[in-house]
Amino acid sequence: MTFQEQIPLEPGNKSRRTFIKMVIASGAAVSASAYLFRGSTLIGQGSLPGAVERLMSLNVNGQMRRVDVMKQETLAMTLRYKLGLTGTKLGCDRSECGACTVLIDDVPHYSCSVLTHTVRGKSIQTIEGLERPDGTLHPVQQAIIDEQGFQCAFCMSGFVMSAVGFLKTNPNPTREELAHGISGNLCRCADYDKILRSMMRGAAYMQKTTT
Amino acid sequence: MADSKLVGQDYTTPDLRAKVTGRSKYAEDFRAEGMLFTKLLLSPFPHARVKSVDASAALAMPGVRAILTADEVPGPRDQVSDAGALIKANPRSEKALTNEPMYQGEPVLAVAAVDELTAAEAIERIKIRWERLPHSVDPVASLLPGASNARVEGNVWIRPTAPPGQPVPIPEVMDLKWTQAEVEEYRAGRLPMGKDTDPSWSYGDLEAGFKKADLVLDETFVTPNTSHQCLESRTSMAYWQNGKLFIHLSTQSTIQTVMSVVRWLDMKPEDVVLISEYCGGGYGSKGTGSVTDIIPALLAKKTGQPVQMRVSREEEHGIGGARPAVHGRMKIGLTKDGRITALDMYTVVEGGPYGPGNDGNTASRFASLLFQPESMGWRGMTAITNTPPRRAQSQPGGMQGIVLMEPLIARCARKLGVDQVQIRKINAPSGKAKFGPADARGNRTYSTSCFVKEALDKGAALFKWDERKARSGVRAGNKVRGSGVAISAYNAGSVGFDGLFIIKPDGKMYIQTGIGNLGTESFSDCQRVAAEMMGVPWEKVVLTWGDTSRNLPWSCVSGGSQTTHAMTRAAHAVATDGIKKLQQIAAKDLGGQPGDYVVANERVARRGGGAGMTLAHAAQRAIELGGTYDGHEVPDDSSRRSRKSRRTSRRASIASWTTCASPTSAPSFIRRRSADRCSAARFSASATRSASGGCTTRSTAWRWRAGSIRTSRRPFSTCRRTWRGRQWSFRILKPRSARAASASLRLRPAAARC
Ligand code: FES
Ligand code: FES
Repeated sequence: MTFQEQIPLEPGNKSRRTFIKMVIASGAAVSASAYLFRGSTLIGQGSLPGAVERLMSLNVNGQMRRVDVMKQETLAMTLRYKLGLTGTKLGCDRSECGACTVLIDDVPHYSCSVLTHTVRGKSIQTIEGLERPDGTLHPVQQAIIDEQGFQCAFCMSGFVMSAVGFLKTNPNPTREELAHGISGNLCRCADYDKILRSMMRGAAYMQKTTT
Repeated sequence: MADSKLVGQDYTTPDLRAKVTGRSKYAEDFRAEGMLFTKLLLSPFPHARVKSVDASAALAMPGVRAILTADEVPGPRDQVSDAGALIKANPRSEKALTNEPMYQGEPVLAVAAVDELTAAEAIERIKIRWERLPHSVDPVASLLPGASNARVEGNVWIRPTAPPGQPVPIPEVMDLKWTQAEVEEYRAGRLPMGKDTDPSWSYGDLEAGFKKADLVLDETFVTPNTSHQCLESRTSMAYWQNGKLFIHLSTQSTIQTVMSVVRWLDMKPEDVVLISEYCGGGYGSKGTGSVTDIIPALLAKKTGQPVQMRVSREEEHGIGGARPAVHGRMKIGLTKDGRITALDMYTVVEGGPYGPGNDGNTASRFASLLFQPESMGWRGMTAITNTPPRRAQSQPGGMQGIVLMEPLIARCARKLGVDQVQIRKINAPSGKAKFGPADARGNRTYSTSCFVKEALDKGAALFKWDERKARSGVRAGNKVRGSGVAISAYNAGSVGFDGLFIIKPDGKMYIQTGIGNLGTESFSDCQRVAAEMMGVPWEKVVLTWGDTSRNLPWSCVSGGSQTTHAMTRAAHAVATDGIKKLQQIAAKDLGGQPGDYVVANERVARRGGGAGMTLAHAAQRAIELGGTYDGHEVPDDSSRRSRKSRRTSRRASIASWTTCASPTSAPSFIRRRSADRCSAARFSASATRSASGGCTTRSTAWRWRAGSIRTSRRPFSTCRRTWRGRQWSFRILKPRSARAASASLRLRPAAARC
């Protein structure tokens, strides 16, 4: 039995006015919806605000992915819950920790605070997209392995994406510059020294491969 | 073992590639067919009682599947520990859901719905009638006459002492208030020392110590509460299959967390499969999981569908708990040259609502260890507060002890005109320094390897202490910079855990471990010892961890800095057993005595060359021999939990498992290592001795800026570094990294706070 069958359907076709009233009435829930997961299981009921999804194409890690997205859905939710890319982590869901960092057109962004529909036509890269199909790791990833960087690694994918993004703009940074470049990411294990060492090594690896 | 191939060498841990590529799965990364989502209704009050719940509107919503209330959560039951001891359930302990929330943000009920938004909307539609109750969020304020209490019964825990051989009685609550004179004293800035409810201790003659002193100081200091804020909140996901619970959660330990889940759900360990291969930080707060982890399990049972509960950062602020603040008053006496003759210490711990912790007592024991007062006494109590539950946090108690003592020692040094490094050296422990009170047999716990004096010398040289001292406190523009010094230690160690590995006819060594993986890598590091002893290269080791359906042995709690110590010993013990079995098999087949054979380079062969067989061949022979050789017979002393693992080894071959039950069962290898210059040896050596109940001075870390204290915030990585061949007993932040640390702190002040 599918969910649609289990759920008693309410009369649809709500007028625009009723819809707005409902949105106002459940204001708290709607404003909170950015960081709550909304599945696609209630499609078509129109009983709850925010349940409307639109099909869109997303360019993720070089692949075009078709996905149903709600207006208020964040990129982190789409990536994690709809595309199964769980390497992108949620630490705070409110632009504080950086665990959810992904690259949007090569620029690091907090995916918990980007609405998916705003990235139409842009290219998104997540931690899963760094490894080459032949299994070769990105220099920054390899450097982490060589330095045994990070502890619990929950912050790792965010740091890696920030560093990869930063190194595109400054391929040969000093340690201070790099620290500033990835200062939007938090590591609760406070492994900053090792993280910076790994990232500096990653930058050196990248220099080697390009020259 | 002089030229060790694995121990003390760098290597890539088996979890790292998954971590860097994003393939590692934390609790929130699991999905199941038809999975429901949970949201919690949290108490808006610091203390209240639920009078009635009207959930009809919520239940009528499409997509809402079930509501779970506190009445449906099984209470904690008495348990028998693995060692056979009775653990009495405390009826006042924390529960997954409650009808009498004791802090703002405590979960009261939970809703399962097809998605999170629906669940959140359902929560909004639930109407609760509350009865507000008096509350108190300040441990000291609740002691003022007439002040309200955090619990209906009172504001302070009392801990009845157990008669010898009896289980520890359940703590009680009492209503305790200061006298008017004590209130006056408090107003004058000193914590009144008159009332204590914890079993106190002392040694030496305090009175004589103070009489002898040339300087007596009497100071009150307070340490802060610090929230854990693990980057991964305590999410969990659960489903049931054929009466078995499958639960994915975020926990520091694996096999030990099963026991917690079993206790909270009143189940049998056999019926729980726990999966936790990765944990996004615990710092003590996820020692054996969190009680809220069982909410999805109960909802999954109710709905017949898998349920996930993502805990938001906001919820984590409360549910995640915090390190307790300790209010301390210290009366200290010193001679002119800086030797501490007496220390009278008194602490009030901010205990949160659930159960007394040990942070005050531990704090004082570390004061006793690090400063070796000639005489010392400690008294204290744990006050109850309507604040998030207090949990262990990295170096629980030890940290607070340092924060209470170091400013006092600094003040003493200034008053006496003694150098800051010098005063710490004068009082530092060395060798087998004793500390804390005597036990029932009159023996005091002792430290096993202290190099604090040497560390202080080395640090002073590295940091150019004399130069810095001259600059300390000098105004430059609008800034005054000070330099200070602090020392730190923590104890580690436990015994009684099992190792388990199997060698199969494919020549590979399959190691099972019940250790959790919170990024400290001890789950893997410890096993290097077993592989080294068995002469198996690391590439031929297959390590299984993090999934109890795969028959993991009984391992220690991954907390309290003990894992590498305890489980290295278990690995050693099990490899010793494995070698013995291999020698016997070889002697049976090739003649001679078992002692004629040595195990090395994937072979068991005659000493000095000659006949032998590969481990693959020996494994084949073990299957034919059966009995103890293939794991059909289990050593009597292995734990109940590990016995289950026999099922894995049945089809296997050389199945070795042994309990490392006594401190002496593993020393020979470790002692030999200690003679080595390798720092892993230094670790092992101290670990061995600390098993006899002593304390290892784990690290001495320095922080020289602004007089602040840096203690080892990451005890676990210290172990790992050791493993990889770096110094640890003298671990000192080099000036370069100290600068880097402060640079990153400047950039991210929030990181420094958590
Ligand atoms: S999860 Fe996006 S910044 Fe923390
Ligand atoms: S490694 Fe744990 S949060 Fe960064």
